[in-house]
Amino acid sequence: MPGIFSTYNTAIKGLQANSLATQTASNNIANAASQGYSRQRVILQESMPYSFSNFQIGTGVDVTNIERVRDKYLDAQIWHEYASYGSYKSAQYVLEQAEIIFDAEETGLNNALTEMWTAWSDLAESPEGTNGRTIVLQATETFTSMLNQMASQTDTLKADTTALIASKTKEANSLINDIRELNDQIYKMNLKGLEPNSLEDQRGVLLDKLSAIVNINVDYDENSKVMLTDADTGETLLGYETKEEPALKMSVIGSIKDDGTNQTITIYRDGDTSNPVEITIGTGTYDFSAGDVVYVETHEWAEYDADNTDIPSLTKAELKEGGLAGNMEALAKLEGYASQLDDLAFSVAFTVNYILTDGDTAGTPLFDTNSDFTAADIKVNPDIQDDITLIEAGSFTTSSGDGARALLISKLNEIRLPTDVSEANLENYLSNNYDNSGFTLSSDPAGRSFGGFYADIVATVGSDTQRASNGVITQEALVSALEEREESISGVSIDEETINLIKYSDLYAANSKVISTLTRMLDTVLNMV
Amino acid sequence: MRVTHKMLTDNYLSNLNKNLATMQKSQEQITGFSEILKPSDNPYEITRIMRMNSALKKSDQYLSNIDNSLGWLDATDTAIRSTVSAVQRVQELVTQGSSETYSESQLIMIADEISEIINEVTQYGNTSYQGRYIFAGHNTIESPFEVNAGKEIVYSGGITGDILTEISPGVTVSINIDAEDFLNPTGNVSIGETFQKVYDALTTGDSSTLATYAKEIEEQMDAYLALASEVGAKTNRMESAKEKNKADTLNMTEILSSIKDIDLAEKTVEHSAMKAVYDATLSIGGHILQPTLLDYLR
Repeated sequence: MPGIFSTYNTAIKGLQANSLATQTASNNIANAASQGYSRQRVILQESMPYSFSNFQIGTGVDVTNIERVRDKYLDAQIWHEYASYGSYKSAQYVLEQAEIIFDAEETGLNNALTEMWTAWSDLAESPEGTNGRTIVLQATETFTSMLNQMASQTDTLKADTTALIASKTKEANSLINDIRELNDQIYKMNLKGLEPNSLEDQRGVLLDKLSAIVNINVDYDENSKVMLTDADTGETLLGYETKEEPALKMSVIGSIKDDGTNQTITIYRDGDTSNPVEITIGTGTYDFSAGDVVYVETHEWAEYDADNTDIPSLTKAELKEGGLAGNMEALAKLEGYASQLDDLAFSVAFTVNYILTDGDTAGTPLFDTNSDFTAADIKVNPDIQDDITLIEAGSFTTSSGDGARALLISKLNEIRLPTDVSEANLENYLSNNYDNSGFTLSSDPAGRSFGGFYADIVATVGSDTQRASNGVITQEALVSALEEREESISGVSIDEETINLIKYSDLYAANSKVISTLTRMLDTVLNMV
Repeated sequence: MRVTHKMLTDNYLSNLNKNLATMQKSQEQITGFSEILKPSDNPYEITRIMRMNSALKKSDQYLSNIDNSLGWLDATDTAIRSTVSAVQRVQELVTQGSSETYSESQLIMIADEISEIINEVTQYGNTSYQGRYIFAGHNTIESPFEVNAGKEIVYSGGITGDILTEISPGVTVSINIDAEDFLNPTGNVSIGETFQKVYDALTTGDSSTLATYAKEIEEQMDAYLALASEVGAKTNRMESAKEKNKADTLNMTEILSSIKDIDLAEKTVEHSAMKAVYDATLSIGGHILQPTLLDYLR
């Protein structure tokens, strides 16, 4: 038999539920702009009724849950797109700097190269005396110093990119560890039957950040813990076990030196550049280059720490998406540009020297044969710097007025040389096609000219950068469309929450009214006494 | 679809950014006065621009080569024409000396004039242009001709050869009259030898032998005239090369400009259109971002 007191109970439950709902709506409004916040919803359910006679009588309302509104499938989708966006963005970041080094400016290497050939043409016009030779020397020095500078700028950019990879790796490792700790807390709250809404939001933010660095697959267990897998390699980055550190961590190859018998590898352990580990191992064990990300098992590091002899085994992470992958890809491209620049430096120096010395049989080379003809090391022969008359403009037997040799060199801008610029191939081509009596050098129909050589490098850098920038734009659009959808599901709508506030506060007032009505009823009963 | 305020603001911000980015790009293009500022703006056109830039630079060099050659050929022409006059004078003197009315002392006087002409022609042969002896073959820094004790003009430079110049891509021409061609244009007897024979005949008073040289001198003159027209032909070729060079340069400059230069009027209009869009976006922002339900609750 229901009594006034049990109705009190119903009213109080109503008050509590609506107060809680008001609190949730306020919390939603307060967090409308918080990063990673998902709106929460109070799930109200009517309480268990009890039976009386033929009826079931309601006993009020229960709050069954405060639910976090989130679409897990959308999360996974966004994380993958973040990875793709991250890879374009990081590649673009590096390549835009490369574009400044390999420039097409009117004062750049292209100009220096042309100036060098026209200087030879000047010399051919007046082969007597020192005027023309001074111009040739100066133009050549400009060309070599510009190459040296470009090589050192490229090296700096490569080193910066490696440092960037290391810092991203470090960030990824620490994010994974933070996620592990959150996993643990979420697990414990779940065991107590609590809803770890805000912890899951925090974890979501960390996963957003991590997915921009590494392309991750996320799996959930029944206690809402997450397991992280590297989507590109399948390696497990974080298991469900929350007690210990992840079994596998990423490290970065800082540098690698090979003396023919041993490789000395500098490893930025866990991405930490402040404390690099140097290991020495037989040549050929690994095929790494600086900036590679490697997986190392945590227990192997522990064993190495114990005695410094058990060298941990390194597994190269073949990353394809994510910020790390983008940086690594850009680094590989930089390597390519640098080697093309080396090819240009080598073929110019080798060809000019070959013509000036009739294939190393007489005369004086213009480029110093004691240093490598690489972009970094190429330089003008110091003998010529001391005595510019050593520059031979004509044949060795005649004198002064003959500028035929200089004329041939000036034509090198247009003459096509083989695209394979290995020393053997170039030497073979020159020995078959260079005629030192009439000073002619025939073009290779399938070859390319020095004028086209550098333009090719610039075009490659340009189109790589363009591809990355276009990728960023497309991916940005995709990511923002997905983020919009996510916001549409999990975002806080002020209008909606305001309506909820009004609704719940009205309900609260109504429930209060019930209580005052009950009080009046009780008064009535009591006054009867 | 639920629409939240954050979606509105995010959308608004990203569009505002896009507008600003396009405006920045067009501003860069206007201030840099170029459509293509970085290789990634258009990797294909950038290589064309680079090729065109270096071709223009080379073209300037060809023009300077051509101008230099024209000066050289001018000097050559003057020297050869002067030589032709000298040979003509010798021809007159030989005709005079051959008539048997001249006394021995008169012949000696003619011989003295011939001796002067021999020196004169040597001077012509030693003409230099910008410090280079133009008939010297490859040995351009030493005067190529001298008169020996027997009054014969001889070549003392020792190294003959072509002076070459490049006037357009792959076109190399020789601009000089070599020492041997100047001294011996007929290919049979050198001018030095002819003059020496004339001089010897005059000093010995052998006027009958002198008469036999008239034909040889005639041949020498024809040969020098032929040489002069060869130089004229080379000059013509240079002149037309110069015309072509200028046309090419103009052409390339035009193409280059069409690839990279901006149409200032078009860009300015484009830019002000973008600015209008940007302004509109800003003012719309003020309207759409403000109201929520809260504004209407009292």
